[in-house]
Amino acid sequence: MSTKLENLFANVLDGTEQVLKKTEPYDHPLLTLTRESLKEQKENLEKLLPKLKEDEEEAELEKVKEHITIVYHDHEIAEPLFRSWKRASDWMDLPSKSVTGQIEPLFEKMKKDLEDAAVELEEIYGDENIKFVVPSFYNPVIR
Amino acid sequence: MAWEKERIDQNIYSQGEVDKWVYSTCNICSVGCGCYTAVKDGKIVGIKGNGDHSINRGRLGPKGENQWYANNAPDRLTTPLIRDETGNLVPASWDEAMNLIVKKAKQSLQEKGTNSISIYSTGQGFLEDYYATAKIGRAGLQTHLLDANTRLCTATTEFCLLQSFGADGTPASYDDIDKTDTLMLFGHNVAETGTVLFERIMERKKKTGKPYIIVVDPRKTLTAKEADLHLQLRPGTNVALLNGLLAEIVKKKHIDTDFIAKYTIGFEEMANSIADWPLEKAEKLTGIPLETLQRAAEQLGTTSSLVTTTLQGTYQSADATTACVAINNLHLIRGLIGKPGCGPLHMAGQPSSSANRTAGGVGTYPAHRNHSNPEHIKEMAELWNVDMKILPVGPEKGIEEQISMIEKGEIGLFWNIGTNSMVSLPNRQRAKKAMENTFVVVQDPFLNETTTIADVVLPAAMWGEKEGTMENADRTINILRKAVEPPEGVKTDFDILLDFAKRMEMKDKDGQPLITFTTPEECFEEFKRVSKGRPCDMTGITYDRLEKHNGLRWPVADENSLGTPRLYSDFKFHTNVDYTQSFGKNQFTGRALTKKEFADKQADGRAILHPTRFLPPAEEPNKDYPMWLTTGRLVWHWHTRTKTGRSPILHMAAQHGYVEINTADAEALSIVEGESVRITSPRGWIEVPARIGDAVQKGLVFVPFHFGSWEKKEAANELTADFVDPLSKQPQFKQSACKIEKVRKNHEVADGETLEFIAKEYGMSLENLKKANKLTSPYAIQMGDALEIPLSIVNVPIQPYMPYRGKV
Repeated sequence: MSTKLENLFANVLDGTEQVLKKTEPYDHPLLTLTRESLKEQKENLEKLLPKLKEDEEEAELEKVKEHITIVYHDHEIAEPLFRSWKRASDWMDLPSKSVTGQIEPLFEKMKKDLEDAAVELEEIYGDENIKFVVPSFYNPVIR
Repeated sequence: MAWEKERIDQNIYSQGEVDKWVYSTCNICSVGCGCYTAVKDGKIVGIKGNGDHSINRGRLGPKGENQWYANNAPDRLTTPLIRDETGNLVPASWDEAMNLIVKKAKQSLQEKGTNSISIYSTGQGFLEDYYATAKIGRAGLQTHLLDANTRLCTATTEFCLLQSFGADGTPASYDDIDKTDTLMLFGHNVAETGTVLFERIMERKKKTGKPYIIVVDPRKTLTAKEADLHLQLRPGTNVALLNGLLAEIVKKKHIDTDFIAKYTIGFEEMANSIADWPLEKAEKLTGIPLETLQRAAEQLGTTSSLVTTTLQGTYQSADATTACVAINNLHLIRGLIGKPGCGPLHMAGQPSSSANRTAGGVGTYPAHRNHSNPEHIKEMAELWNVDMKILPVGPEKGIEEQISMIEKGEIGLFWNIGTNSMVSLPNRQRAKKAMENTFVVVQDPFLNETTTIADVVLPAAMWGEKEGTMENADRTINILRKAVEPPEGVKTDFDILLDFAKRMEMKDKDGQPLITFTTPEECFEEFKRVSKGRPCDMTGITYDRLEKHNGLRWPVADENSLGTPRLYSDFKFHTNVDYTQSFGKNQFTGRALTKKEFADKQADGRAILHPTRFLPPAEEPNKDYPMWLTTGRLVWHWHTRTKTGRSPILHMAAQHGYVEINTADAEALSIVEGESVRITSPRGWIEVPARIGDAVQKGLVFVPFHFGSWEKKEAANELTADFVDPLSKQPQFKQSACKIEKVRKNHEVADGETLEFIAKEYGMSLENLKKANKLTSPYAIQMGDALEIPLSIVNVPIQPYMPYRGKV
């Protein structure tokens, strides 16, 4: 059982849920895209975590890699979308302006957890095996 | 051949006969006109069109005819510059400049990791420069931060083609424009951005009445004025329009069910996405009258041949990739692709932006290889003889994401080649602030707005001073021969890159130099080997064949081939999972799909129809910023005028920035023609003269983006928002919100003053003074009244350019 990895992805799920909750009252095209990505990220984390739990040893990469890749790719687009929405909120003085500052650290934490998870994945499965699972900008070999 | 007769346009300034004419290709727009460069006493002294080149038969556009003046400009840079401790750029030797760049590159690699060096290039270089960038960047520096100003220009072309057909490469060509019954120019002001192609269209139109021309544009452009049907939609509603039209075509059953069944997947999902798009809904959102929409749907639904071109009105708008995919959907459901006179022709903006995509200098790996397919990366590693694990993979970062990375301190070296980013990037003050905090190298023939933030400036050679190939908008590879040596102290982009690789001691896995080619032709020969078997196969191309045949369209599989005018004529698309250039993205959010997700679609050589969900623009007018702002080009200038601004004729034709305002809006605000007004957006402000008319619709203003001096306060990108399309990551220059403010002072009417007297006092016409104050009678003032006086009125004439009327 890879507890550290599980914890890191559990943290990402927690952050995802918090962002979804905090952004629920607002409506903006950039937020629609951000939330759509985060919802998919959440779905895949919810599928991933039980799979990481179920094996006594490390989960087979084949069983989990699809979810892991989708989580990374969703985060990779949600983060810049969120930053764009933050700028839009400031520029147009939108009601959401008050909440974006609270959400920013959640995205930063998610990014850090995903980078740490990439290190963990590399240790467990080897850099060659995770090369196409974790995108370059999270991958410790390339980063 | 399209043209009935050749017409050799030329522009020479020479005492006596020129010494020689050297074979070349125009280096301005994406049309790709063949030309010859005139040389006398070792200098370029003119240009003439190539009468044998099928693209232009000797014709040249106004910018093309005048591009060579910049070569001889007295302010050409002829030595590298390094910023010293006092903050000034001072001359340096090539050794000093290159060694400093190498030192900074190594420092960045050591301190920030491999993905910390960005090479941001251009769409105006050569395929050989881009391939060298790809190899040096990915295999040498191991960076995935390769991008170019093509991101601002035609990134959407690539991504819509990947989504629908599995690989880059626009399906139709100019030959199809010559044959088609219906031509839809979607956000493509070809009369101003590709004058020779427009002449070609209009020559046939005047002779035969064909094609039926539909223009989609929120402005009444010169192109729109020649249309049979102008769909003048509201900003940001491209997808709303297309969804309405597609829904109507499906409803009327104007679809090729056999084609859909045999050669596409995804029809049901696509049809469901547009099921609730009656034309009335499209009418409401686009502002186009119902009967006009019905006419458009009828034409598009019943025409037996159709070519649709797209350019910045589509690419730089909200929902850019989705709009282009909707156009692909239209061609697919009507079976109008891969046949004579049929197909989408997603254009490029710059003369070789397509080559940058093909060669791998941006985004994907060379020759349309998939950055997420292990087999493709393995193949590249073998071709480059490097360890596969050093090559970066997965989705790339566009320039706007790179700016965020710079803000976070993640990029230690930003290498800006052949592009004036500080004028062309949206929200440029943010970009400037970011760039000031990293080490910036600018490679350019001139000092410009971007060199003001450079730490090192490298003087680069220009068109006519180097050899290489370019790829135009319809996949034609053209060659440019070197006409003259670069000025003393100046190097080509290609030689600078090779010098950098050598100084960095870049090696392959056997310890041999990574870069073994030494000339552009050797580089091209290597690229040919890399392209073999890929969609852009150039095996059958040689430099000599390019000159002999006046360009060849890829793929050119062997030396007997004369190229491929039209892709997918066998209706087999590049969507096999092992071959495809991309596993695609989620059509709505832009999330990269996995190999499994793509394989599960089972496209297997069929084109992919996608749902096209409408999303409004990220910024819309509100009470504080009640106007739409759109930006664009003029016929007389190219991009940031680095070259065209140095041609006396082009400079005289359009000297100033300005804002185009609708007559009704100007009347409501009592703005007079030429009055300097302040345009403010949430990012910044400019003060430019007003041009009043009906080219823009009410509620919209247009500012050309060519003018960007830091001092003059006329740069459109002080105003634009830096939001990007979720798939192509292309910025949405066409839709921002702004407000117009008058820049005036008050005059209190004194005893005995008349309007006429006051007007004379301020150098204004009586009419303008009355208009500025909404006065109907010259006698309607009294002592003590306050009058508003515009601080500045500047006449901004823009010369018309419509040669198809005068010359054809």
